[in-house]
Amino acid sequence: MISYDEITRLIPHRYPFLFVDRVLELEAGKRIRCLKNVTGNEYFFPGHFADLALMPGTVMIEALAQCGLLLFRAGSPQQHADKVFLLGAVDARFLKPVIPGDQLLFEMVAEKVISTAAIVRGVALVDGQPVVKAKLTFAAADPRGIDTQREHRPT
Amino acid sequence: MYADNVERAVTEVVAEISEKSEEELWEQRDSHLFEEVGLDSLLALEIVATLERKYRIEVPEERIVDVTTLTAAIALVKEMLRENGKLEAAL
Repeated sequence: MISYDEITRLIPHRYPFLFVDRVLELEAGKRIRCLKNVTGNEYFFPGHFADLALMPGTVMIEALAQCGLLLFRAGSPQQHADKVFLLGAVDARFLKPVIPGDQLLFEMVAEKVISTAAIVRGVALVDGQPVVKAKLTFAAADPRGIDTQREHRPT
Repeated sequence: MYADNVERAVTEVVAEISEKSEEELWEQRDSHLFEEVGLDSLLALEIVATLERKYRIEVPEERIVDVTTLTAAIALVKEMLRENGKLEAAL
């Protein structure tokens, strides 16, 4: 088991953008099971939506990506310590809405892992029922190589 | 237009992942597959992972950078199949 505090030592994500509470099982580089308790206090519920609190699908994809990243990084946490991690491709299917009070169980397996990138596939379950299925491709990138400057060009 | 089944199957896989038509890809099979600098490796990784599953081969990490053109992808798959003694059956 890996606690919330230990998770913050393995991936760079922090509140309000860390969506994994606990790692239940881990086989580094191969498979992982993680937990996320969804509460009514999540910062996104007032806006998604004001009269009907539904967890955004994009946030569930991010949660799955963070589980995949934990799977990728757990075996060699020193490697890529100075990197950021970018999604390259997402293939997802949303099956059921997720609401406050739900407990998300993420089950991910590695499809292909190399030293700088990975393809992972997984499912999020609530009460044993799949709510999201996704395949994600992500890579470790040097933040110095990412262009964050934009020249404003009026159209 | 294809000389064998490996050429056809690899073209299908690369077309789906790179979101190009098979005809266009085949015509430009010696051209560089990816234009977006930096995304090359991830698309190449997806292509290799799909081909590995399809042909039950294992491509070494250092060979993924070789997948720059469709011709190179076909050659790599054939090389891996040949090493495993599975090329004749795949053709």
